[in-house]
Amino acid sequence: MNTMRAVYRLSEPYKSQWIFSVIAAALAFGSSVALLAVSAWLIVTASTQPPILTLTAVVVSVRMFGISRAVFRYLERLLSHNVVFKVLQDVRSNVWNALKIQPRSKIQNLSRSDALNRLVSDVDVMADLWIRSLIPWISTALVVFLTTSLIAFWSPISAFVLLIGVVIAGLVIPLLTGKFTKKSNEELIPLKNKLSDSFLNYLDAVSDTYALNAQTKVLEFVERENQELSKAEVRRAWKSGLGTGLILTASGLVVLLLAILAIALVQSGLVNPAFIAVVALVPLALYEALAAIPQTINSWSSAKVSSDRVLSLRLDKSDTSHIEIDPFNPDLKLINVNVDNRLKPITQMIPFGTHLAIVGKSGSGKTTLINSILGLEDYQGEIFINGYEQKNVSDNSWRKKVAGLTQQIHLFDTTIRGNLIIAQPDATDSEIFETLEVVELVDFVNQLPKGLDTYVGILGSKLSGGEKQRIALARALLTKAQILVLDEPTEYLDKDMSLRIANNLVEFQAGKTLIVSTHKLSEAQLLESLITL
Amino acid sequence: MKPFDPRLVKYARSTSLFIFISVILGGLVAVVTIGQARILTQIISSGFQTAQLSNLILGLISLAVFFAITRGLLAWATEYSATQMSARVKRDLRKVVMSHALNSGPIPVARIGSAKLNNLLTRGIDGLDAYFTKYLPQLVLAVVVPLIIGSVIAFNDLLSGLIIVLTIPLIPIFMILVGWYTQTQMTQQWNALQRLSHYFYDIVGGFNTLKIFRRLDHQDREIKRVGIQYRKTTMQVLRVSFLSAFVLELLATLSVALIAVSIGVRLVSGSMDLYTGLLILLLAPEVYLPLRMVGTHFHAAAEGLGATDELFNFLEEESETKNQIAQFPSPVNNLEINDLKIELGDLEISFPNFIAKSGTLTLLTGRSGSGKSNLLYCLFGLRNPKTGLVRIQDLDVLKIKKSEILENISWLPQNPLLLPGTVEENLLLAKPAASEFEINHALQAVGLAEKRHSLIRDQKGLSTGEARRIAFARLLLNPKQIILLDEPTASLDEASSDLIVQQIKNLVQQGCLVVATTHHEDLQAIAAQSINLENNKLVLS
Repeated sequence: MNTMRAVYRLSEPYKSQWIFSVIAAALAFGSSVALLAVSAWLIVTASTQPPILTLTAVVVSVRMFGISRAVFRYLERLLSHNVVFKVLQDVRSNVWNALKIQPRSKIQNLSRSDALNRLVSDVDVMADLWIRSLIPWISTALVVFLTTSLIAFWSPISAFVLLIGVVIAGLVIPLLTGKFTKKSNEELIPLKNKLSDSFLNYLDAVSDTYALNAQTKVLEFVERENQELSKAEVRRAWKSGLGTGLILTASGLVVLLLAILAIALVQSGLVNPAFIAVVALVPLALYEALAAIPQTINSWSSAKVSSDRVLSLRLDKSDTSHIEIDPFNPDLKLINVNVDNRLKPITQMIPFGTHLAIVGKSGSGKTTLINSILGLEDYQGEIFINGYEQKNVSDNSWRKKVAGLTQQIHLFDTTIRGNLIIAQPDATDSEIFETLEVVELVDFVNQLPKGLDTYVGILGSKLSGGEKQRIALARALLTKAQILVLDEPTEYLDKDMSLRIANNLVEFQAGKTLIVSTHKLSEAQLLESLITL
Repeated sequence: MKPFDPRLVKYARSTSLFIFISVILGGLVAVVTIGQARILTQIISSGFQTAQLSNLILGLISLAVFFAITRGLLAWATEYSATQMSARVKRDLRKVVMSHALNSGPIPVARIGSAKLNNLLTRGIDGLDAYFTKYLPQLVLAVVVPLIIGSVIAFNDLLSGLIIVLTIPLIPIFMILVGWYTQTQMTQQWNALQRLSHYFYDIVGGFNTLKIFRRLDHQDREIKRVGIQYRKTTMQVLRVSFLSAFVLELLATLSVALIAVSIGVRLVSGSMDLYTGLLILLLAPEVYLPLRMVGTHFHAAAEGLGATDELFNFLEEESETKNQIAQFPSPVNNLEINDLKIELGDLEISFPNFIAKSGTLTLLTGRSGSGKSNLLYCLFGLRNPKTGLVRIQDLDVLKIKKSEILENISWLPQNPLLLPGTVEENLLLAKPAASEFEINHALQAVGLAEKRHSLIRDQKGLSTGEARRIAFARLLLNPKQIILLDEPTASLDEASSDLIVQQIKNLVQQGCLVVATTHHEDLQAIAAQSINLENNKLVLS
């Protein structure tokens, strides 16, 4: 029901476009019902051999419905896809806005697992809610309603039988069998997960398997789980197809019933003989649409899973402060900051201009501490700038003072320049090259045929690990922040270069605050003070 | 994409049996459809003559009920057999691909990526369910049903048969024409579409980066702008692809309308009776229906076909190395890298020259992505370099028989293989005939003596460090004259790391030629040379 409400809320701004889509869908479907009805009427009437002129109108309408069905189907597809893309775009904006106000811990959790990426693909799947479910449902219901009303005009009892038949075939059977097959599919999930886990394990260990010549052994184990899944699938196979089979049987029986009923009515002189053909053939056209209903229910339920994940991002605003920080000489102060309960809390004065190294092994909490200072992660204790605690000031004003480099670097799929100026949109080329000098990338950029305008590829795939790292570092420098916080800035670099770059950094940030986490003691020693975690 | 990939039959034999069953079932569907139409026509046309009706009706009704049930049963049987077959085909494919992946070594797997391959093998080929249960039977019906029903119509009325014979071929012809036309349109838009659709992934992935640089709000407008552009480009593509469905539908309905009108005219003139007219009217749409439905199910099927296509390409990729016939040189004193360059996608990685000698340790340093693992692949004779050679005692490693390499080089990759079973059983993989003493000795060397009989289940219940130590113990059980170690001390605590370092020293002292990728300081101290692999990449494109 929540999904329904969300779907309604999202559809509302485009109400008229949705209505047109549904009307087009109904007209397309209605045309095919009308086509069959008119053809049946034509043939039955023709068999009484009336003057041919009386049939002209019917002949024309047969052709018309033939064409209109295709035209409306085409229109419906265009209209509905066009508007669904608009809706999805709104969803994307909503997701983005929701992400912006999510608590830090939630963002960190999402990005650690692959959930952020999944969120993006979930949005795309949501299109099925409209295109493959709602539009077919509503348009089918409309046509069924109109058809039965028209038939009721001649014979209420036939209309009633038809309606019952449609409800059974289009609603009862799909819902019942849908539930049935869904359950049996869910029972397969643990087996599928197990197989997927072990595939991944063995694929990751493919080198070792090769080196040990242990392929046969591994295959034996994999094959056992493979067979297990396949056997379970085979055992459940009879459940699929139940819906389609029952719908076809039901439709055959209802058509038969209607035909007999019609004959009885005609013979008792209640209706025109041509009615038999119409009333017996119209349901045939209806059932063509009903046969697709089980499919639409499947689409709905899988799209619903995706949309639930998307909609689970709460949209209510967290409290954000609007207090701005005093712009001069920011002194940083950490008081009993505790990023992980296993570790001892940290208290540290970092007056403006200090160069501080944070040293520790991996797992010692360096990254979480850095992320806390950068305002990316929740922490216990207090982090002050000139007496303003981070939690009490606006995010933006904190980040005007504090910029830096996280351990997880992300390069965007754009040019080198595009990646750099994210930090400083109005940076000039000379400013850019100044920072590239610090990270020793000037020669590299100059030798590229397109220089700064070289595309770096998806996630920087066209660059080496070292180049990516240095571009990300240059980007942080370009902010010219008064407090620069860098997590392992010389990661991915060889010993000599990382020492030179560390030296350059100290020089670049002279007179301003520099905080660097590192596991390389030689670099830590370049900074005037040092804490060990 | 092709509607049917013959490679499916090649790699999963069950497919051909399924096609046979589908054809039989499809033929039966056509027969039952004709039966149903006949009875319905008979009932309707006899409805006009009271006398006829009462004679016929009971028999007709029971026959109609029988056909209705049979039709339902056939639909169920089709889907039932399809689901079964799909399960078998998926099983066969998974087996073939896994066996290929394991036997052809790490390079093909690394190229496609283990996570992606796993995804293709599980979720990806689950898409075959839709292909087998919906699309393929429909494809069979699209061939069988028009043929059978078409001939019944032609038998009853030659003119209608003629209309069908003339219009049916138009459908594939128009499809091909529309396909050609859309092909160029599609490819033109494709790249633009790819970049646009990737955009949201990119900014969501870089959320924290944008946050740090206060650029989150800036993206609001960008999301809208890219969204509009994406919608417009996609609609251009869709407009064209819906056109093919439009043409198909128009042809089908117009053909039926044509038949209906021609029947009507002949009924008026009295040259045809109502029974025949109605029968043909009922059967004519059934000729075109399966053809139209093929298109409807294609979308669902495409996913599974896409996955199998990638898997088949994986299976058919040519091996990089071949014609390996030489024996392993003996004794081995040195391993030489000369002018070695490899190509990875559009990257070229060149490696510095060096010679590693027996009884010494050579370290390879550089971060992940610098080509360390690829260099180890070259040393193991798995990768065909773009230029240059790896020589073992002056013999090109690519010329040496695979089995000889396995017997003479120990290689400890980063991810250890652990099979369900005891630790001891896992050790025996390296040396099936190892004695109890040897096993204890090897486990002791890595500080895991007490774990000998521990059970390994699903690789869980073991820390990464323990898993790697077990792998190292396995290497100690049967060390070869050349030993390649990939990050031997990664994810180990200090104590175990010291143990491993000690064992590496021992191996070097015993005269082994050891090459290791590591930054470990103690190993740096005893290394004969340390080769830096950074800054060796060149973007080719």
